[in-house]
Amino acid sequence: MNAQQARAPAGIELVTVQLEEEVADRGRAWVEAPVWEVVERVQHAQRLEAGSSVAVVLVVPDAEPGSSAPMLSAAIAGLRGLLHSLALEVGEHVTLNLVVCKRHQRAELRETLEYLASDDASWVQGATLDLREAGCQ
Amino acid sequence: MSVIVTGAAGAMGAAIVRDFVEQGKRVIAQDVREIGAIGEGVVAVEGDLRDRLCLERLRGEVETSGLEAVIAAHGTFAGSGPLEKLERESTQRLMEINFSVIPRLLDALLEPLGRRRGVVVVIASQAALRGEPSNSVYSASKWALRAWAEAMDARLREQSGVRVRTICPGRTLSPLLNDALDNFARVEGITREEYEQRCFSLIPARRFGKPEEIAAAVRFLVAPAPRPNVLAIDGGEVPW
Repeated sequence: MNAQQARAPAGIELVTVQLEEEVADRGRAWVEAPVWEVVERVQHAQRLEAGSSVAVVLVVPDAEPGSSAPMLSAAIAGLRGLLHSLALEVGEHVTLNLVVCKRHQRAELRETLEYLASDDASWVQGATLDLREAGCQ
Repeated sequence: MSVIVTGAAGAMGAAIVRDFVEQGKRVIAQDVREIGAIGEGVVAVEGDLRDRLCLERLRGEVETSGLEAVIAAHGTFAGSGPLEKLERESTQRLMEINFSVIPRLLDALLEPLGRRRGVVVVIASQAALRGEPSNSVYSASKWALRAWAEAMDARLREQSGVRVRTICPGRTLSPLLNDALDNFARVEGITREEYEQRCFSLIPARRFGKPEEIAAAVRFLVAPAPRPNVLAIDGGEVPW
C-alpha cells in the first residue's frame, strides 16, 4: 500500500491527487488537471457541517529527473494558491489544507492526517504541509 | 531524556512545557523572566540566552539525561515599530534576541542533540511569511530565523540526523496580544471589540489561536520522522 491508497482517519475528508510519472504533457497533467479535479471534489465543502476538515493530498513521484522540477514546483504552487483561496471562502467552519508527500511516505502521511483531524489542528487553515525533506526531493 | 524550552514564562512557552510534562518528559524550562511553578519534573533555568553561562547551564542540565528536542519559543517585539521611530540599539537587541542567540544555542547543544538524532523547533511568526508595516525589524528577525532553520535542517540532517523545523504562529492569545490589541484599538480610535472584528475579517478561521494549539503543533513536529519544515498555524491569515 502506498500514500495514494492511504485511508482517512475519522474526522477528516481526504481528496487524493497523484501525479503520474509517465506523462507526455506535464503542464496539463500535473498543473491544469489537478486544479479542476480538486475544485470538483471539494465543491461541497460549504455544505459540510461546522468543524469539518478536508485534506487535499498531492502524491508526487518518488524519484523524478531534475528536468521535471519546474513543473513539479508549478503543480504544488497551483494547488497551494487554490487551497488558500478556497480556505478564504469557506474558512469559518471548514478547514482545508494541502499535504504534499511522496508515494512511499505512507506512515508520515497517516500521522499528518491524524494531526489535521484532531481538534488541536483546527487553527491550521489553508496551509501546505510538505512532507518531502530537503535534499530528498 | 530531556527537552529544552526557551521562553518558558511566556504564554506559548508555558503551554509547550505543560504539554511535554503531560507526555512524561523531563523539561528544562528557560526564561529571562521568573518561571513560576509549571509542573512536576520541570527544571527552571532563569537566565539570559545572550549570556554564555546560561547556555552552559542548559548544556549541563542535559549532559547525563540526553537531549531529544530544543524548542526556541522566546522572542520580543520591543525594538520594532514604525520606520521613523526605529533606534539602532533596540533594533540590534531585537535581532539578537529573536535571531542571533538561536544559532549560539544550537552550537551549545548540538553534540547532545546529535547523539539522540534530536529535533529543534523554532517558533517564528506569520511575520516570517510576509512583510508587516510598522513591524519591519521584527519581520526581519523572523524571516532570518526561518531561512536559517531551513538551511540548517538540510545540513544537519545529513551530518548528524538532527532536524530543524519552524512553526509560524499567527495572532495567538497571550498577555502580549492582549496589550497589543488595546494599543492598536486606541491608536485607531476604535473600541477593542471593533479592532478585534477587524482582525477577524483577515483570518479565515475568524478567531485568534490558542497557546495549546501551538503546543500541539510542536508535539507533531518533534517526531523523528519527516514532517513539514515550516508549519504555518494562523487560522489561514497568511498564504503558506
